[in-house]
Amino acid sequence: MPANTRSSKSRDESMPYHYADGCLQFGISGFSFDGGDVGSPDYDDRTIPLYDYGDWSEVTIEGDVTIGNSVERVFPDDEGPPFPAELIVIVDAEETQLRFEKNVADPPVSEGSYDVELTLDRSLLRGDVVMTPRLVRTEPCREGLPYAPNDGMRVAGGESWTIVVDHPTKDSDGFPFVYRDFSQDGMPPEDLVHSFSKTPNPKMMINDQNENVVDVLQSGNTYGFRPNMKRLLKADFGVSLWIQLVVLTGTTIAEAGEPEFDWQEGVVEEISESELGTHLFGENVDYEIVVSELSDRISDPSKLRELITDLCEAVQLYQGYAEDLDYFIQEHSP
Amino acid sequence: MTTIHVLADSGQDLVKSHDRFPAEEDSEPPTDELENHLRTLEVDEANIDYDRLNEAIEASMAVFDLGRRRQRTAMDSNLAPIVHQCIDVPPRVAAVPGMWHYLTLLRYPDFITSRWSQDDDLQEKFLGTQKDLYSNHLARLWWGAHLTYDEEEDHYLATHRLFNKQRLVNYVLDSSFRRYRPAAIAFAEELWDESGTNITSIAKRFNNSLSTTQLEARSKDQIRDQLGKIRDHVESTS
Repeated sequence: MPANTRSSKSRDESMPYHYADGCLQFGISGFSFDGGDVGSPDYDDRTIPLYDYGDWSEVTIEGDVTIGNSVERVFPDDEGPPFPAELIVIVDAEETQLRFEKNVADPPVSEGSYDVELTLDRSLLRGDVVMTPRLVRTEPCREGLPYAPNDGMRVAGGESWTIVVDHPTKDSDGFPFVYRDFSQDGMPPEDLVHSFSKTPNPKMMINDQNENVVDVLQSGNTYGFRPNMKRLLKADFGVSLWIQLVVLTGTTIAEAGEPEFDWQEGVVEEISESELGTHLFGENVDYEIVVSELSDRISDPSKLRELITDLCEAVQLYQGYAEDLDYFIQEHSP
Repeated sequence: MTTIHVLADSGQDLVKSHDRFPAEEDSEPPTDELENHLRTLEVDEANIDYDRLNEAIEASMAVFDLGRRRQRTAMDSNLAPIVHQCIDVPPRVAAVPGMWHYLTLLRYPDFITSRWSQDDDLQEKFLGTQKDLYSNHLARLWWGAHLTYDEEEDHYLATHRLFNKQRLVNYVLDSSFRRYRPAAIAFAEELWDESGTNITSIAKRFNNSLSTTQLEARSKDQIRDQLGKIRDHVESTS
């Protein structure tokens, strides 16, 4: 069992055949640059941050993929173990238009742990690179359904890791979007968006199975239906994200007396310097007033109710949601 | 070491807020102002051959009748490999949107305007990013060629075929499977002479298959074989 893995749901109901979701446990033990310096991944975020290590040409990432015992459910009894499948890691570098497979184990494969070593050339990468483990059939299945009938079909998956090559770029609402297959990451597969704000690096996760939404969110910041829809979606997501961020920041302040993470200080600064602050706490708002007011209102249930109501109003104004919606309707009405 | 010019986001904003360009006919980008929004990257193992690129673009604009859609498509097919060869930069650099904004706005604005003036979203052809591969025109040509260039055989046959069919190039460059080069090449090689209606039907069925098939585990020949079977099915049921 790798040292740094999470459990995940064991079945993907959306697949038309037996599929072992979460059967593959992908762990990263470390990484090194140009055969020299060694770094550690961020196990909480399942990210491998490479942007604070100066100049480097190649990075080598080491880890392992463990095939769990639920793999037996996705093959008929007479097919194994060992099973007619290959174990691979999909490497997807979106910004540099690069997708390929790293072979981890040739067929046939059995339950157990397999080492992975992947060397990547920096000149081929920018932004984030996502690595996802998959088990793929290499022969047709004579029994057919409910087992995956054809070679090339994926029969098991696991949680991905993200290599962060460059400093994360912030979107206009201040937080990066990250794209994941929710069914592979232990989140409700029907959900579209999930925010992770209890960590030092808050981000919005988007379920990449919603291809149309992902295409819109990844469109350019120019004109036309998709960029305008993108502005609208970001404003929409931003409303719920900001409410969460303010409440979480206030909770931390109520408990500890001050913000804990850099992003929480950023939230307080943003409130104190924008219409969020004036709407919530009046014209003379500053950093100290925001800290004091948040602590006071979140600690008192009667004031908390009022704060949530005020917050919903303030964030909508701040995000310009109504304005974006009106513009979108005007531009794209049939 | 080669100096790569990049237009900063502030330059992009300048164009977006411009009251004439590119919407009005015969308008030009605010070149002098944009010069103040440039930054540079020093890149090893990169080279931009402006002489050859200028010559190729000028020749194309003289030879092809840009008033005709079919001719514009043929020009793209002709230019895409040349753009890829002349702008010899690693993907890490090609992924910087500002490089393409510099090239379209400050180097080749007349070419972009001539190519796209009869279509909507002309501004997108100057300002789009590599995330929308059909938007910024030079990025579209470069990435389309990059994804379909045959590295083993050292030729651009699939690139020519991809760009020769508007429906095909739009579909491939708008898909997420484009990032898997064997798939992009297989599409160009297998569907280049199909009708637009067939391309749409085949591509839709292919996309549906990706919900169960692991694309990256398939070779180019396997993907071509799959596309051929889908085509047979589409033709037999239409």
